[in-house]
Amino acid sequence: MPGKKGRVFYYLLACNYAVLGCVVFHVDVVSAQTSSSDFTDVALERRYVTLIQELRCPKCQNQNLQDSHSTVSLDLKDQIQRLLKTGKSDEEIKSYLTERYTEYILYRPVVGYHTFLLWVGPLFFILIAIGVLLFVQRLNSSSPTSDKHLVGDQPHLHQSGSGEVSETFKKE
Amino acid sequence: MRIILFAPLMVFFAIAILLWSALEREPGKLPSALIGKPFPEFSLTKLSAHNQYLSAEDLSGALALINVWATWCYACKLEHPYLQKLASNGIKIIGINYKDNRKAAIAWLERLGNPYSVIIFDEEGSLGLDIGVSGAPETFLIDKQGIILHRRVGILDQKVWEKEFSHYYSDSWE
Repeated sequence: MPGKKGRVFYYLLACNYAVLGCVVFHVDVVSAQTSSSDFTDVALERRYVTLIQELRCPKCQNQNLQDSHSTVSLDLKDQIQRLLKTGKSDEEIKSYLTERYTEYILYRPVVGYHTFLLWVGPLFFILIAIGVLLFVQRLNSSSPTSDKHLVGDQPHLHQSGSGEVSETFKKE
Repeated sequence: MRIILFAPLMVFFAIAILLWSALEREPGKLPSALIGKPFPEFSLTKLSAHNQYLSAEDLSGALALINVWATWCYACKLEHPYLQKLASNGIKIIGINYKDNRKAAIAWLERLGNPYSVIIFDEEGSLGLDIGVSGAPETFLIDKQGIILHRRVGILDQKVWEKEFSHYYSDSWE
């Protein structure tokens, strides 16, 4: 039998799921709305939705075509539908748009010399981090003098620390 | 060995410099794909006559501004007096009336004055799409051969003119 506190907890949990459910539902509804298109072919419609999610609105830096309602985005969405229906491939459509709006329009950047840093940068930083980690580890293990120094400096702290821990264990 | 202690500081400065220089950049700025390329082919009517067609050939011949405007565009109204001033100083300005209504556009020019030597009526925005227009106003600069030299997204005023356009004109006068 849950107490009063328990009931409040379950109530909040229920609210939580309700909100989560609404969010998921909302996302579904919204994406269904914004991808309003007159495709009869499901596969084509799926390609269309993927494209407008990956393409950026030229007018609005942080929005994709799907979310944007600016005139230029609506025009581009119409144009993409037209191109898809004439049998253009995804790559052809992307190059059609980059010829006019540059690579700015691609949210997924192409791999090239000018985007080299973007793609390799994270790996580079991870390598640095691993290097530092190894260096520090080796520094710690290969210089026993510094270890002794540390222990010698604070012997009481170490002892009292471990002593306390064992005492609390005994109590339990 | 000591120098290794300064490594984190060095890394900090390196990142600081990188980020500092990035502050100056405008990530929202849309670059133009057409700089250095000829103005794209098109076939659209004149604003003033629905049976007279214009093409890219009609635009070349002299250094000219190509200004994308519309009656629905508030910023175009703000920009308009400065275009009038440029036109009165002998600068050739070609208009692209972008996704607009022919009657409304003609009335607008009758009321506010017409700085354009010729106006292309792009009702569907098809030419706008081909030149990568993201809205109005936008201004392109083309040379005698019809090659696009520069593009300005947004209002063209005295400041922008002096910074981005005027040197093309002084070069041609020298």
